Amino acid sequence: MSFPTAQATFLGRPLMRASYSGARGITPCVALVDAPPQDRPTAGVGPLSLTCGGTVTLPDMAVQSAVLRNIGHDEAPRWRWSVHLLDHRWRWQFGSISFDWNRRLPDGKVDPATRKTPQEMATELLLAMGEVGFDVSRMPQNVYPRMVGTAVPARALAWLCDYVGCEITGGEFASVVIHRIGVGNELPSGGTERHTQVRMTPDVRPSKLVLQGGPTVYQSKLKLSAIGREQSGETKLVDEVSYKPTGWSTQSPFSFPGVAGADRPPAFETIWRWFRVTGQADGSLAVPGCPETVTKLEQLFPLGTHLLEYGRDLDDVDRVLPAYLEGVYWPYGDLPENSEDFTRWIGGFQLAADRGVVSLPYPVFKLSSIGTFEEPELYLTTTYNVRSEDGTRFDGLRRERTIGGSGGEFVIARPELFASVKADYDGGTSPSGLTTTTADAIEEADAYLDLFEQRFSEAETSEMEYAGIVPIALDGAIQQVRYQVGVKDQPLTRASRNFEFDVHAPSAAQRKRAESHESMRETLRV
Amino acid sequence: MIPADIRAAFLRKGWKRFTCSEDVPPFAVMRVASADTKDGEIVYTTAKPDATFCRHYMVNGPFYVTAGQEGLCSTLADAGFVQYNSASTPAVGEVWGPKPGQWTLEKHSCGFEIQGGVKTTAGVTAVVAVQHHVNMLIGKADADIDHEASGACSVYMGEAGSETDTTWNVTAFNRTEDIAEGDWVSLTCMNGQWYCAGLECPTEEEE
Repeated sequence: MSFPTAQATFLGRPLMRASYSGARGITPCVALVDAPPQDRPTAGVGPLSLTCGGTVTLPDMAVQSAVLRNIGHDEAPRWRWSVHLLDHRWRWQFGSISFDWNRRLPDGKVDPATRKTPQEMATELLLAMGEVGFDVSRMPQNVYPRMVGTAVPARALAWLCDYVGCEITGGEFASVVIHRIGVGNELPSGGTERHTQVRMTPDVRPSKLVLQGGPTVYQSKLKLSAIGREQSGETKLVDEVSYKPTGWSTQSPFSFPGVAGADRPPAFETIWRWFRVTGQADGSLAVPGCPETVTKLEQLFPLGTHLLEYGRDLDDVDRVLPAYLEGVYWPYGDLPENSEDFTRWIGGFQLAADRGVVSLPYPVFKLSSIGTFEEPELYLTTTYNVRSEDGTRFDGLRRERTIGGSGGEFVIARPELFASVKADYDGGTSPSGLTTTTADAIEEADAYLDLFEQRFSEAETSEMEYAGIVPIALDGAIQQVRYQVGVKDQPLTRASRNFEFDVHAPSAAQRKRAESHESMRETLRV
Repeated sequence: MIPADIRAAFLRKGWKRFTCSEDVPPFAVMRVASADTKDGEIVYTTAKPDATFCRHYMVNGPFYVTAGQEGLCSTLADAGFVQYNSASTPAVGEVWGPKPGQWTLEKHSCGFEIQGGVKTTAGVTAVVAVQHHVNMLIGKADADIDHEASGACSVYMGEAGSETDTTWNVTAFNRTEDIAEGDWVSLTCMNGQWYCAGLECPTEEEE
């Protein structure tokens, strides 16, 4: 069989043999080249060209190692320089970039001050990597991954692409194109194929995609009841504490004359100062807008310390607003007059979020019509998540899509993506309506499902070997390509679609694991 | 959350603890019967004003204090609310005062200068007043009081020219000429003691 004229050069110098397996991602792939013994390699960076019919030029290869090998035997040695070259991506292990993108506001929306689409994020990262002429147009525009920290730009880009179902290609040619996984070209057919293309669809696809978002954040008005602490530390409703005098109504909260001895410290610390959440403002346990059945308050704990609402500060940054108390109480005025209904408490408070207990810095009570002491009507407006009755899961965003594979569920965890439901009140204790961001969260969740459905819908694998060098660009489907030329070898090109044929090279999964380990040393996080 | 101390107005009053054997309505005027300490704090025992005239009274705070329980009272040295008898309406600048047998201030009495702010809501009939020490009274000698002798005098209060016996009595020392029973006297508190001086004009015979 006659081969087309084959030639391989590095830095313009001819090689005896060269092979290169290219794969997607940010990890540089290695070219193995053999040079004649008289042509001692030196450290350098430059183009590696493989020609046989077609030509592939890897423009920015760097010498990683060089050893002198005897490929003959002792009596008739045949010396070769065996050189490892790293493709352009060797440059990507350097650099640093800090970012704070797509911070979520308390209601789950993306803070406009930090909002960036994946295309915009990738552009910034690629520029930080020193790349030019890249193409990120295939990346999605309708999802907003949270990225905050400091990282090597390429690792951040790898994380981002992985998160939005994309792959980085073209790094070996210093001409990056980011593709969606599963979307790509067929293997070329130009007459130099060495065998028939065999296609098959492996039965390893999941049956269902599940997007698991974060817990839904609810905000409502919660009723508070006065509690007291016993000497033992046990807390009880104020009327059930063991040291309760005949009635609290006649007990001055400033001296508690009817409480004696060792009961006085807990009384002074807690009576009319500690209040515990006992349900929704209307007395029920049902959380407005929540499908979960609530039978005990612990399902709402720990409570949040902020609201879903936010306000813009002088730096144009939306800042969360704190939880607040309101109600009817004696406002320490000159008269025995209680506050109006739902008067905001401005005296400060502390919230023991895990117990739902509000503690006030001084006694807060209400006065009866004749001026005796009564329990105030207090309400805490704050946010919380809702657990299931059995406590095993939070009520949260979950979207499913059946894709027809034979496997189980493929869970896409997107904890930064959550819905919020705010109960609105029109001057009463019963909600007058709900304000939610559920639709926005579902839209973004479904956008992620679209991305990953694409990834699994194109699962058909195929592989082809070509005589000579056939330049084949990697994309969202074509995962690996191998070029090989040599003085005595048949020049070959081999490429695979939706799988990696080279079991000797680190697989895509292995490379990503290694990249993740590197990222763990950095501060990149969701 | 940084606490805003909404108690600012309340804390400016200089409250003292007190207890009373009767129910005490908000802003009631009380006389001090005795003082003791409890939990390291002064606790007054108070009572409704009675026939014993006091130069200084306490005023209950805004809470209803049940008999035998504790409340907070102040001297109203700084202005504050105090209950008044709604038979009349206090006006700024008037001086009202306690009356034996009632928790409320009475017009044409003494000790509390009205500053306004009549409040008839929130279950009270109260007005803003400030208390001052009473050092001068008008009254009548209950019996002849000779020169350099002491005698009982009834304290009279009311609209000028129509004063009536308040039933309060003070014992006063006479450094002036003899005073006959039933004569009008001015009563002045000096060095913690009451002195009386006749206010009757001498008759022609006496002249």
